[in-house]
Amino acid sequence: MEPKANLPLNIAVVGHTNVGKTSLIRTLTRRNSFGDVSSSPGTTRHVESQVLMVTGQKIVRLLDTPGFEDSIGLFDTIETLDDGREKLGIDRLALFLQSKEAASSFSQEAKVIRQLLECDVAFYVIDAREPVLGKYQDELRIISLAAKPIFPLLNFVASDNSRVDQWTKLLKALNLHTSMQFDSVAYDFFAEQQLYKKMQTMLAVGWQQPLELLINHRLEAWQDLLIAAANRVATLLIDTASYRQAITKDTSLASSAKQLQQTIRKKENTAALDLLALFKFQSDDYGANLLPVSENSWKLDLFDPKTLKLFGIKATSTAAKGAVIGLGIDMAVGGVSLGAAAALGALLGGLWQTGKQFGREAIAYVSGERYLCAEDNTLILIWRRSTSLTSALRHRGHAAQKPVMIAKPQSEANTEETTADQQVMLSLKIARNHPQWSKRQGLVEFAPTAKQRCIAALTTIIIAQWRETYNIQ
Amino acid sequence: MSINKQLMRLIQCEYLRLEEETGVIRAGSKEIERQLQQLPAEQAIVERANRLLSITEKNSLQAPSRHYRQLSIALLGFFGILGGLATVEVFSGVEQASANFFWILLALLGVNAISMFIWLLLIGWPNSADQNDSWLMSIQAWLSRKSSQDTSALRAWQQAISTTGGQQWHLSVISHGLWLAFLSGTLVMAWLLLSMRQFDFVWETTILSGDAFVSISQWLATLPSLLGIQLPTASHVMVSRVGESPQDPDELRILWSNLLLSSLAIYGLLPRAVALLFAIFARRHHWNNVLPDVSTPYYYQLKMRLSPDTVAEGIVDDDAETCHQTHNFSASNTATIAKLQQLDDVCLAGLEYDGEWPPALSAIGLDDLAPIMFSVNAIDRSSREQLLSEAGNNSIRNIVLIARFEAAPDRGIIRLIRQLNSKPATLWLLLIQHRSQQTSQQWHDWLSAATDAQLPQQQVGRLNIGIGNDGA
Ligand SMILES: Nc1nc2c(ncn2[C@@H]2O[C@H](COP(=O)(O)OP(=O)(O)OP(=O)(O)O)[C@@H](O)[C@H]2O)c(=O)[nH]1
Ligand SMILES: [Mg+2]
Repeated sequence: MEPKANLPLNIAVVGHTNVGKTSLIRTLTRRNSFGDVSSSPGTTRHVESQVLMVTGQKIVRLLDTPGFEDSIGLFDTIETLDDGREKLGIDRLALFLQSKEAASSFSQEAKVIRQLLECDVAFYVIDAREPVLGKYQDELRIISLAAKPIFPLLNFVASDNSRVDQWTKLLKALNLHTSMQFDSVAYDFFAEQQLYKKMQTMLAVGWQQPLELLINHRLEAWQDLLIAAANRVATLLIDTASYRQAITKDTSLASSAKQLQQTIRKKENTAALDLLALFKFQSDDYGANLLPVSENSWKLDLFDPKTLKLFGIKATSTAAKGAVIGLGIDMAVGGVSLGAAAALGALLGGLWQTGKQFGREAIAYVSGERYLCAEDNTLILIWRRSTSLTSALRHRGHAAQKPVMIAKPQSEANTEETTADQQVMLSLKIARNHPQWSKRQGLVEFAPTAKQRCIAALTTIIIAQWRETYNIQ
Repeated sequence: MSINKQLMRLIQCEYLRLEEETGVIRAGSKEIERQLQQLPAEQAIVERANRLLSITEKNSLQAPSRHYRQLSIALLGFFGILGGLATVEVFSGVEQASANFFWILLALLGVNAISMFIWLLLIGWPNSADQNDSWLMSIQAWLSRKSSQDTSALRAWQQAISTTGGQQWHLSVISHGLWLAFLSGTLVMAWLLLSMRQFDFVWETTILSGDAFVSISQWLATLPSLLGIQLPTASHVMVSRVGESPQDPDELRILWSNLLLSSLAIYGLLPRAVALLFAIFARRHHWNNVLPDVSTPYYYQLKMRLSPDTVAEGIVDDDAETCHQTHNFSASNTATIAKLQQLDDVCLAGLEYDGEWPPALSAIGLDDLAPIMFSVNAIDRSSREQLLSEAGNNSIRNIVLIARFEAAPDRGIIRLIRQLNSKPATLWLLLIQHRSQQTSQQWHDWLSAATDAQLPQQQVGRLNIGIGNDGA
């Protein structure tokens, strides 16, 4: 056992064609543009490498290889090349690489074997839906000739017709006791962590420390990502809640409501696209009509009563959908704001701000100014929807090619506000009282610190709610 | 106010953020980001802004601080004068040159003491200054309008300062500074007045006991006396009461003046100066430690770009064959199935068929077929060999090869089809589709596999006996 490993750890990702080798690398590297992925066999025809890094240091090199296609034929060829003398597996593979078959009919397989001979460990990717056929066993026999640690990875385990048991039985029979279930499309961060941890147990001690570094770094980045996403959602909610659409003398209520809806839709879509980008997904990677956030709009409209119902919110029948008219002094809002401000530790500021707000409202009342703002239902919907989107993105591998699926919220029957909703709505009531937060008056934003602090507080609430209620770790 | 270096760095970052969030990406930012990959993320973010901004831009970012400094100097002067005027006002109330010492001291330091007390209260109260930054910002906005200055610079300032969380110290510096100016004015003017005019210091009371005043004055004198200043003793105080006639009024005047000036300095200026220094230190501490907030999406993404988790090394072992054949095929082959149903002497064989072998004819959708024999299901080397030898049997006229539509037709499969196709019997390939999914790509793959194996397209058929969906 070597004390210090030679970084990076070279991992040859091998397996039959079309089992998802390229997909696996896409997911592990969070790069959905890596290589080519298609449902046809023989898609990858070269060896391509992608490196996992921790602060500038290369830790793991993943090598994507072409798939084995004719392992029965290949095994026969290797057998016939044998001159009968007792030989090591690696020598037999070396002999094959010099043969003319390695340059012609088995040129793809030759590429795989070259990588096998050079790598530190081989990931053998398995399509767990496949029956355990002879050709796969032949593949494993060929791979084991290279005398490298083999780490079987069962892909497609989230499919309902996967045969994990049969495969594990075969692997055990071949003395491969450490294997791993990992679906590159239905992504699970903790399965990924598990994968690296299992590798630690399997490899020489020299690799433990670098892999530990990778595991911790990934965990940190994952948590940072959650915070950034929560921050984005909080910003969206606060922007929406503080937004006011003035009803002027020459606009009708209906057209103002339309404008309000349009503005809010735009805010939500921008946020959805931002979330996609945060998780390193691109909306245009998949063509316009695949994502629910296509053509810059969610497929389910924010102001459609059906959408409300889908997310477990009872629709109310206001004249202007999704909007409520704020008129003059809004006592209830002011009162709640005070309480909320106190809860957030800003009692003095809250008092002061509420007083000022009352002043402004009083002036508006006297001068007959009226405005529209988003109703509570709309805010709750935005909150639940962005939660669902975040949850979906966190369980989406970068190999996924289908549109982002928003899971149906669990609480469909439950149309009441949950405590999670209430907590979030409380901070939004503060935002409601700060119309200046969503606009810039002339040159400058007013009270940016108060807004920042409110966003920060809401971010913390959102993270806590996600962890608790929505099981987003 | 001298502009804090670290804060300036944050302002530069914020300036770029505001610009980039509108979609502007500067030329050369990619290159600079690549060069900075070795640095720790926060440092790299700061350095990136430093390199991307031009000298003129950096200068214009300094402008708000210059305006701020000009305003500060003007305000300090103004408050100094105000302090002087206030002192004159206080002393002008003195009748017949006999000044009430305690009254004057209260007038000069009372409000200061109260405001100091409020400050102490507020500083212990978190976030109390948040709401007040709006007027600070308004002043800056007004200033920059006056000087028709770049608004994006001002916004960068705002954003930076609002993320630092050091506002309460910033406001403290301002208020202590102004009070200090005010008190300095007071002290100077008091000294001038006491130098140029003559006051007899007295004290008087109606309801309090005289002893109280004696002890107050002795208590006031404790600190100044440590400096060796000559101060009124208890007996001096006793004789200064209104109505008494002291023996040495000159000495008494000096002693009381000493007490007044030193009290102003020690109980007025000194605490303010200490508090000011403290606030300056606290503010500097805050601003020295400010970093871009990487929990926000923009900086998170920038951090990821600067310190990437993954890097592409590209193609290691390239494909030698440059072009791969592509074929065009018809969408489906329903005619093949009809033809299959009419065949007489058929040998059924499996190609990695997944299920019971031999299969029930209904399971493969061919109830009308009359097979003369079942060969094997080729799932490994030996069964393949067996199939090939049985297929060589001259009595067989048709071989129907049953395969899973969902399987990927790899080169091993193509080789087997080609070998079977070279036998005298006619080879048919029947693909059984279990999952009812969008499949045109797979159908295409199988047809091109057949073409590669020289099997005519008309001899390939597919049957959808779709049961359920593949959820994944
Ligand atoms: N549902 C599901 N589909 C997957 C998964 N992994 C891969 N796929 C799909 O399987 C197909 C093949 O994936 P690839 O990544 O191209 O497979 P490969 O092993 O690189 O194939 P070749 O390069 O052709 O040898 C694609 O259509 C993928 O979308 C998975 O975990 N779940
Ligand atoms: Mg591939």
